[in-house]
Amino acid sequence: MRTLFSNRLRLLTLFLPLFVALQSCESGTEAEDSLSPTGIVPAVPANLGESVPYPERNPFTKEGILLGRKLFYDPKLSGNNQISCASCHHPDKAFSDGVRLSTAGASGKQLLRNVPALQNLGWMQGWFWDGGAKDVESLTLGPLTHPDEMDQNLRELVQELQTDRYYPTQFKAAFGSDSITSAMVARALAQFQRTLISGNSAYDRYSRSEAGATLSSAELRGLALVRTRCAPCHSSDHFTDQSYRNNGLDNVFSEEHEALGWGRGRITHNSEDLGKYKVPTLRNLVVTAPYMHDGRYNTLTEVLDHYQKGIAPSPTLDPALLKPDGSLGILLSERDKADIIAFLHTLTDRDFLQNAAFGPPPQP
Amino acid sequence: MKFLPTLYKKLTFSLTLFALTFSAISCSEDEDAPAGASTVTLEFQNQFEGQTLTLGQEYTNAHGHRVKFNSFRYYISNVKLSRPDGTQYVQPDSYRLIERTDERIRESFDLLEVPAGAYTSLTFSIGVDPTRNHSTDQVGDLDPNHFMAWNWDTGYKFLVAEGQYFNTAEATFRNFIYHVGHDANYRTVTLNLPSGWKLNGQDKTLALTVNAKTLFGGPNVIDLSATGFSTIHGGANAALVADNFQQMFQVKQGQ
Repeated sequence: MRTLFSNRLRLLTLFLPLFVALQSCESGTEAEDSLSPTGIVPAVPANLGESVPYPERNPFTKEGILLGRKLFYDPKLSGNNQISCASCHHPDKAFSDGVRLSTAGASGKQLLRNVPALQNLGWMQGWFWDGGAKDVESLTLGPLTHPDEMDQNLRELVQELQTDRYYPTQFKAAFGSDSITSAMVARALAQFQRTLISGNSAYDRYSRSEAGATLSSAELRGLALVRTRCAPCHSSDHFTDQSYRNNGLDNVFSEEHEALGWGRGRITHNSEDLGKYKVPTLRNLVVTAPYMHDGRYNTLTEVLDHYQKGIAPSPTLDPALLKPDGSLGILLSERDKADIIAFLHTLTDRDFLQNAAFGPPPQP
Repeated sequence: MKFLPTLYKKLTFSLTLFALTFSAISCSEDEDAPAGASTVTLEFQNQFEGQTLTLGQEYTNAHGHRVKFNSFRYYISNVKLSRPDGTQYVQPDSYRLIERTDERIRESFDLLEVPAGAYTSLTFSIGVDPTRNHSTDQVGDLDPNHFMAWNWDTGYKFLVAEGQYFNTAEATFRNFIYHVGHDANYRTVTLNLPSGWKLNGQDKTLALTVNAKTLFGGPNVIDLSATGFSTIHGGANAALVADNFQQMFQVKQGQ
């Protein structure tokens, strides 16, 4: 014990003066109590990577994640205090909503794009269907402030949280200050959303060669087809190559709604990106219908029919959607389609969909 | 601390006393600005052709359109003052919103602790550089609550100019909405300071005039009634406006 203490004391002699000096020079803040947020490292399934990526400025903490989870389910986040993030992002649907185009926003107007699922967001590069959001912290600004979504004024939101009975303490626990900023709101929500990790489907267990994890012969044939015919787009165990592609849904790209129909082209202002959208993951696909950026297909059969025989040609159409003979579409037999759908069912992760840690937090 | 032995507590206490003494000394040093340093207030006098820019007032632009402004806002960033020998004073972390709206007018900010000596030029940029333009996870003037961040395309509007112009063909006022941003439209300006401009430890104001008329007619004369020129959010036309706003700043002479 004595050695331990003397070591500690030596360290204190070195660092304590510096620490106190730094603190006391800050403009009039009282000495903070030494409670700092508890850093944690979310567990990551081995086939997804070594750890979940996050920006250095917003590391995971127990308090930050809990606060983000509370904010996610709190209707106070909306202008009319009636809509929360969870109004459109349902945990049992991998945080999608099961609707073609939502009307659950503040104005009741139908939205122009399908609500995206929220899963494994930390690994993605570019969020929203067109990659307009450049990090998970920034993506929050869209739904939060859009008049047809949560219609919130950030100044009012911060004021409202600041005068709440519980939030100031919770922000202080998470970020060391009870003077709330919009950045703290975004950071807490981002921490929570990065913990929404799905990696325990039947396929995942098979991929990790876990004991007793097997796939049926139809599922295995489906997997082989996904790895060949659905590649390079839906590649890796994330089932997306993170690219933006025109998958032949349309050949006219409307300028209406500030060129929303340009897809990625609206973000890059490059005509080569007209009608391109981010390749979505195939994870939990069965529970995230309807499909495509505008939710136009209700079933996986419709989706596969599109790839087999519904491709609309345009100058930006992805070359991966041409058969070897140059004709449009992906070569698929009826049996291929059935096997692919059988495999896609193995990507449903019940543990993720039913994880109590992702649901509304207990009331204080 | 309650689990620590008494001896340890005592030692910690005396160390803390030591530390407090130490910090008191270091703070008093910090509080004294370095000898001879000045605060320079940079003032942006928003104008239209020599007159103070008055919101709602009619002006005539270079194309001949009658125009009225509702709001005029822009970011000034990365401010530097250059000395005759080429060295520079650089303001760290400088991203400042200059604005003239119905709600608020703020047209100046301070450069702190600028060392004494002679300076020949002022350099700054209009907008937000790529290191800060790719996330809205920010505070101060970059807090997205200033309505200067896009919510669907992460990044800042470098300049916002909104108002009306008189559309002669329709014989009525129509809106113009200029939201210019994106990395490609980040512009840097270097302006010569009045000759002999120097700091001797006293605080000083450095006034600039900002001619809003230049928005529509610097190097590029803009016809607000032409297709794609009444509303600009990005694309090729935004670059024309950026080339214009790069030219709208002048250092006032005789100061």
